[in-house]
Amino acid sequence: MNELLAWLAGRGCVAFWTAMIFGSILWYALLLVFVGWRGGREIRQMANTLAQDADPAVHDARRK
Amino acid sequence: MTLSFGDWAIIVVYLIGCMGAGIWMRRYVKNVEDFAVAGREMDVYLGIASLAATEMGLVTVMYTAELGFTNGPAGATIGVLMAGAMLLVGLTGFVIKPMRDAGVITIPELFEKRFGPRVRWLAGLVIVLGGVLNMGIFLQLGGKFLVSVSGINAEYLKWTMTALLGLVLLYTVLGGMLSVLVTDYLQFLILGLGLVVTSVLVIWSVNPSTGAIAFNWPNIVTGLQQAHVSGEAYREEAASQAQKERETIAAARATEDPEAAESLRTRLVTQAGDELSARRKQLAEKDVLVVVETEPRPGEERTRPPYAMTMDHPFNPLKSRSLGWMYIIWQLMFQMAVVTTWQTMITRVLSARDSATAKRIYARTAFYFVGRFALPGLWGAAAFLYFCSIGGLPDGATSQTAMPLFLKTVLPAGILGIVIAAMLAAEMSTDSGYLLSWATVIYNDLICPCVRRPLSPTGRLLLVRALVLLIGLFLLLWGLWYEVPGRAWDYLAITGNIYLSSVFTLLVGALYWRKANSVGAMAAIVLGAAAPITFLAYNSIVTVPERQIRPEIAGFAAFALAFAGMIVGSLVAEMLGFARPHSNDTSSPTENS
Repeated sequence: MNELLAWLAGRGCVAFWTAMIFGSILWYALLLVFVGWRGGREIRQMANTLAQDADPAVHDARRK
Repeated sequence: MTLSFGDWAIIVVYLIGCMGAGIWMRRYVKNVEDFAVAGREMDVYLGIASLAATEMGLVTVMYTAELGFTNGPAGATIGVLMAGAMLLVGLTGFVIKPMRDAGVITIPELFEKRFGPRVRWLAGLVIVLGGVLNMGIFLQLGGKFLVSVSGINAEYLKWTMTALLGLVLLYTVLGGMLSVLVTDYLQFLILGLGLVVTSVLVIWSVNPSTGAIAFNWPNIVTGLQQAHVSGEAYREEAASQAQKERETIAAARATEDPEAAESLRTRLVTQAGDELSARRKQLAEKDVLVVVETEPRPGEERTRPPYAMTMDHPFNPLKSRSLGWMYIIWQLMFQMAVVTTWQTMITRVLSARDSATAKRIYARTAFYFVGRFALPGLWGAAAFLYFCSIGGLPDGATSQTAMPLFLKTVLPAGILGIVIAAMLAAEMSTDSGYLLSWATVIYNDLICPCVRRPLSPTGRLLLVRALVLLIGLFLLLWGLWYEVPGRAWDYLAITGNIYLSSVFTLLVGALYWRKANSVGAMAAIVLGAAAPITFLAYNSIVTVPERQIRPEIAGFAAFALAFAGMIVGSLVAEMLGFARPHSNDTSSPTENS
């Protein structure tokens, strides 16, 4: 029983870290594409909102 | 110099792009709220990019690679725990939801609503001391990476890092959080690209002569397991040798005068170091690396004698000598405190459009923190195997510089430029985020409560910009140009511990315990500070490593005492009628918010 647990622990740990490392590479690659695309769009939206805010009339209306 | 023209071109284009974008955002800054929390216009994906880029600094890459070098992939256990804490907070909104709903721009501002202005000021001081002093090591560690990987002459290191910080200061002072967000976004992209490409090249290596691609992961796994077994065998042999030396020294102390015994000890230590150095190639074949330091460490007069490094258990953190159950439980608690109280992380929460956006940012960034430890850790572990295979570490290389030296050897031209640009991105995004966060706390919680006549909006903005600049100058002097004494690094650890234990306790008390009051809050700050200082004093008196207090015990005690202070202080004050009347509503504005 102890041998089986030790074997499982050894194999399980290697499998776990393999999944973590390969999962991280995959996740970083996905975020690179997805956040790159959506984040760029959010920057444009944020800049537009802030530019509109510079207009006192729009600024007051937004605050209300 | 190992960089090609292409590498330099990549680095220069990145720096120009980043500066241009940062300075461009200056036009949108109209008041302190725009400057400090980007007018609270940050959405989910920009938040993910900013949070990830800020928390992945060059200093992070260096110390997580060092963990991989000594502990293999198991060194990334802390990253898994941090990701778990982030996910839990992101899903439940623990602390971050009520904090964002409160509409504050810093953590101490929230404390004023529950505990009064004195607690706010004291907590602000603790936060600034912990945060700014800890930032002191960033430039030095970052510089070590650049020198090792690029081949820049070490004498230009300080000027290179000064120029880099100068660029960061320029766009942070002008555009504040708005510039930080846009540059963080660009830095997130280049950083992610560098991390993915480097990790892929470490796992799949290309034979330069045949062009064949080899999948190295099974070799890395087997190599690390073998290195651990060989390392343990060496440690047993070295322990028995050390025991004999100790007995010889003890016998000399009993029979001879102290000076002669000390001289014998010095001779034995030097002899053991020389033997290790001579056997370095033979030991490398047995997966044991000998470190031969060529310069004294900060605060030390002499260079340390050579010493051996072995691989700890590379896959099971519970069997690791430096990790283990206690350490893991402690780190779980510690990471929970980090993700809910570290001001640079919380600045992203407070800059989010609303609390739902803040929760989504946390939940979706969580797994990023596994890679934050696992990927540089993989490079560190691969560096260990690489140096074993080529006959040991070169003179002067340590567990810190082994990874950049390894990358310099294995990465082809062009890719090296991307990796250096990525690491510059890591350094710049962290520096800008940190500069802004601490400057905002100094302005909002240390200066504003003391100013009797409110400043004009232009005056406020000027003041925060001046503070960013001053912190930048302080960092240059403290972290780069001034040689910090060895013991000073202990104080950095202590200030960090005081920050996390007391601020976490205050936050939980302020947001979730109706009976928490100002007396309990003061007691939590004082007791949260007392424990780390006591342990620092004890460990400096007791020099035998086995009798010293382990960091996890010191950390547990700091949190336990801070919580005890909050509970006992609040209840006693309530019983005696000392507690000042307070509002349980943290959403009402403070005087200067």
